[in-house]
Amino acid sequence: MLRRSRSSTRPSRDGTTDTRLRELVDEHTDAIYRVAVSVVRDSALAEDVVQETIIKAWRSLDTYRGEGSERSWVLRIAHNTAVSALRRIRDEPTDPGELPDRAELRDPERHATGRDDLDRIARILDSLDELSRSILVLRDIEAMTYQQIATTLDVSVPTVKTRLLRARRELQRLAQVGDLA
Amino acid sequence: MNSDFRNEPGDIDDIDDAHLDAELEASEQIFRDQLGGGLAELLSAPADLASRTAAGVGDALLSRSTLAAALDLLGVGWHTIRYLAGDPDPTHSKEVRP
Repeated sequence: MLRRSRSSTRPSRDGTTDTRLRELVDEHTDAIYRVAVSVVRDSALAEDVVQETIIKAWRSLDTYRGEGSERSWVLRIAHNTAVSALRRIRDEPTDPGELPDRAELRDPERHATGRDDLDRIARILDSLDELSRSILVLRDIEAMTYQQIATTLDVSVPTVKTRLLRARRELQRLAQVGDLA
Repeated sequence: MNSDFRNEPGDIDDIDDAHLDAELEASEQIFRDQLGGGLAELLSAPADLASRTAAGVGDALLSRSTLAAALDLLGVGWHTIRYLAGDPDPTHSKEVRP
């Protein structure tokens, strides 16, 4: 039997609750995916993170106090979920052939940019640590403020700034070496 | 390739706040022009992800709901057994529910 309790994780037939869940999905799925894939570097795993993040956010809506934007709150859950997923995979004894395949991020049918360029960007991105990748994505793709990024990732604003500048410098250096752009 | 912002690795920790902000501002447009588009494309979500996520979340919540209902039923069964076994008030030992 379906009940009307969000905190108990049970879906309801209540139209309002269903609508709210659908809003979470429609408003945040793409951004959650970008953050997730920047951390885990695997599209299938990133999709799992998206689903788990939406479920966690929906179950925790009662505890969201409206401090900061809902996007920051959701992406914080996404980042933590992605980091946990990555640790879980790293901690599991796994056949190297089953490790996340970076090539999955570069499906040629999905991208207009040349495959060589995307391959190069992917390799450059791989050279950064997870936190720097997340900061780069939140700033340069999600256009968040330094304060929002700091809140989302639970780090200080100076850390955000120094990591971001260091990441941009490194990416530009590697891009120059590879004659990108 | 434009390289208007400083590119000496290792010196960032020594930059004061004002210079750090200035360098970030200078690097922002350059970075977006050179790599931003490709980066956004590389990390873009599949077009049907939202609909698949909505379906997956619905299924996952329904599965958890079914599991929770089953556990509730097991709990009721446990209370009944405790009652039949002679405990007049099974709620006294809620914490030992399976």
